[in-house]
Amino acid sequence: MANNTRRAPTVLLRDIVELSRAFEAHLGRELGVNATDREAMEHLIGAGPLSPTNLSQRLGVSTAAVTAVVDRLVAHGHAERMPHPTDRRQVIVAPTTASVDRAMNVLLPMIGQIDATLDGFSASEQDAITRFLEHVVASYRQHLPETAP
Amino acid sequence: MTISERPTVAELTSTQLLRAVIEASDRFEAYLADELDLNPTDLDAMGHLMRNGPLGPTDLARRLGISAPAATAVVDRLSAVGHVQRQKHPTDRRAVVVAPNPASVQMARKALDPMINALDETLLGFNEHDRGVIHRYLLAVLMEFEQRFPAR
Repeated sequence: MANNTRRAPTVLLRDIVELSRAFEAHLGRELGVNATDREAMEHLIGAGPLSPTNLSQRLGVSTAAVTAVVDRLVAHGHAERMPHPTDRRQVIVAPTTASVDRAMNVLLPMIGQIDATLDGFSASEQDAITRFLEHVVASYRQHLPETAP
Repeated sequence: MTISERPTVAELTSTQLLRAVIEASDRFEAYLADELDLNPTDLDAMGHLMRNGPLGPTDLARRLGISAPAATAVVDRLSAVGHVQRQKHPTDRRAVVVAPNPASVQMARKALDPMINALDETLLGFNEHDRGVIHRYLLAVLMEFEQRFPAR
């Protein structure tokens, strides 16, 4: 929104969000998957094996839709269905090592460089940055309907 | 790896928080798209048109990171529901620009402004030094992204 009264950090945040989407699209192309499947892989890589219910909550899609996502990821060799380690009646979805490696080759340099941007700040400055980002996340959550995770 | 639950905000590092910001923003956009009855790409296109004013179809495609035919489909859909109009380019009569409809811009602003204002207000709790710190940090992050994705 063109509005000169907007404070720069808000505009910067928007630009970051936009560019991060371009980066995610790049990751999706790298893995040869669509946007939802790529997001599912990001959750599986970040959290480790998840139950289909947990995955559907994280993606904000129905359990039926998440079954289709997992089917596609399994067909591409990106994920596997396995028995739950303690409850054999349940199934969990785990990312395959090869696909985690492929994604990490794209993600790690990016994450490392973003982490490195913090090196130029003192501990108290880093604390201010953390508090700011916490407030931003809290603001978004307040403006989302209750049902959103 | 274990089956883990979503960590609480307080446990996250800045980089993880940034990721949480991006995820929250994605969810907010999905919610907004739903409210405005637009698919996410069409909403994204409206955002670019609102920020920049009229754009050529090629420029719009580049900003959205989609093909020219895909951008044509976006403009067709937005045009069909009255959110944009195709107009002649002001100086090059052979070219076409896509202009947002003022009523649609107003409607989207009404939905967006409370969120943007809330984001602006998050800065009120910080002194001038810390605001400078936040600004420098965000700029540094942005530059990292831009190095990989040069300005479009």
